[in-house]
Amino acid sequence: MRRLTLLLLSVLPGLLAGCVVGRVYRDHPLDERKIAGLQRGVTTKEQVLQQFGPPQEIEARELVAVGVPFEQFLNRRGEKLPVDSLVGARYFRYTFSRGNAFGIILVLFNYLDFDQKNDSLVIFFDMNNVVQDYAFAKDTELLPRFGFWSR
Amino acid sequence: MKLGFQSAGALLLAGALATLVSACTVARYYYGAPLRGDPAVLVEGQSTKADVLHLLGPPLQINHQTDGDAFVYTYDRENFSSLTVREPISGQMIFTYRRDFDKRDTLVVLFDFVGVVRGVAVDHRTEELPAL
Repeated sequence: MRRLTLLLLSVLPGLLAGCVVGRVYRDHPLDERKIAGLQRGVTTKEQVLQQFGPPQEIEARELVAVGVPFEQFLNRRGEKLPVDSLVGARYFRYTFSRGNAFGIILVLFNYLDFDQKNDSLVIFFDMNNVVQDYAFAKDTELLPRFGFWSR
Repeated sequence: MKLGFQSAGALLLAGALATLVSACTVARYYYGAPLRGDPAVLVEGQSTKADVLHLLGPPLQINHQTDGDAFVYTYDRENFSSLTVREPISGQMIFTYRRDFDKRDTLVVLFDFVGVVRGVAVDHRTEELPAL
């Protein structure tokens, strides 16, 4: 009886253990077939928007900020250009984020593991709104499924 | 020395009580992926923005400076551990010890106006994280 009590008391903390598995998905996966179709010097910004939809990030910069004189583009001195002529989007960024959480909740000891990785596509445009360059990384493939057990 | 049943029971009860009032937590957080490519192959004044994108992939940040752009790549890791002791009846915290290490690998590539590499800086700090 005493041994049984001892055994029960020693395994009790183990019986109170819990496990946590969490998954976070933000935005939608990027289509690699469409990415393969991007051509430097050929694909236009309009085509990019048609294929990939609205980007998560648009970076635009005023020409004056990079030291490019825009007076030459004006028909008459003092005339103001429309804003969209002065500001050109330099790159679009598309991202898909995933996070995997894993935890072991014991009575005496808790372990938590959270890993977040992104698939990222950055497309640069030239002044004619044609793809100048792009880079893609599929880092979500590196996510461990069950924390340290999968690393 | 032999312990009686009551003494052993009291000891076990005390042990069980101790397990209910103290807890240790270890946590690991990872943001982003380890830096890819070897920045040592980049040649200042020669390598271009296209070379950098091909070698290192899309940067996490693109910053603008007065004399050109800067690509920033980072990989962030955090190791956290804590020990908490609580009073068993009221649940009031008696003692807490926390230790939090946040380290990152950072790579910065500077360009001039025409997109040629003018500077590279890399720092690997995640290797310094203590295991426990």
